[in-house]
Amino acid sequence: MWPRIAQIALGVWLMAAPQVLGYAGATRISSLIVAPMVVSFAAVAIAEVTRPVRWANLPLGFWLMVSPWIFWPPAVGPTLNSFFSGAAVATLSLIPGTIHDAFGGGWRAVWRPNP
Amino acid sequence: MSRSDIPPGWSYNPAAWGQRLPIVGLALLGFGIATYLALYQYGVVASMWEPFFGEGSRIILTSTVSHFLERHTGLPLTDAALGAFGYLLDAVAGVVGGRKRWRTMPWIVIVFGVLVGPLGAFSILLVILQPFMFHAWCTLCLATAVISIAMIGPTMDEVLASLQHMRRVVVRGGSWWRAFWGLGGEA
Repeated sequence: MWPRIAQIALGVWLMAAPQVLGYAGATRISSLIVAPMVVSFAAVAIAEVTRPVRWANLPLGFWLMVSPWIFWPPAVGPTLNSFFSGAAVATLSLIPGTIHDAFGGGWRAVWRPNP
Repeated sequence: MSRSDIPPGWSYNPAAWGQRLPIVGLALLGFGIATYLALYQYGVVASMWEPFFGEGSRIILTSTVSHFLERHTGLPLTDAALGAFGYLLDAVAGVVGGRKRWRTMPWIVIVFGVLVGPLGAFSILLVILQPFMFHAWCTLCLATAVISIAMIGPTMDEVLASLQHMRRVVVRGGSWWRAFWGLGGEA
């Protein structure tokens, strides 16, 4: 559960970051679109049955890492913040966490049943 | 709870009341908050509780997006009114049926999942639009988004159990359509 909580914290920080660090333009818009999605995917992935949703945050983390080099914000702070926050989001989505319950073969069983 | 209530290969019954009532509780909380937001938009409530973002709630709740349907179709529906209706449908779909409904009424389980999913996606969209279009945040609007997102994961286990059940019926030569409506052969 903690990797998801950490991603939610990073997402909330990225929602506040444009205001706190004082940046605007394309980097701000990118943060404000991606951050609520990171929070949402992480929150959905807390439940064991929807844990695979954690993978959705892997490309979003990569995007946060590379996007400052596409948009070139005027200050170095927003660039480093986006890069390291994105690296953390991407790394955390690789951690599966513990699964206590059994789900009869999971989502795969809907296509390949295992009765 | 009898053993037959638990889906094959599962460690628990996702349609048990202990699993469903917390989701229904969240839906009712969302309904309450969305109703309050809608009453403000219709002018029934004069002021809006906003502890963090100053004028944020007023800006968001009177924005062009919040009255989108009203402006484009003439229907007197604000986004919060639609949200309140959505939460009410969620609560009803969460309550209907017994502890075996994952196999006796897959249709209501799947309607439940379909209602909870888009409401969540719609909430994320509205959250993204707040700072992006209006440079403002609305505390209670964010609270409803948190509620919508929190409902998705806990709802999907039941949906999965119903989908697996329908698949098993098909593999045994049965009709998924009849299984969907909870008709016919129980094995």
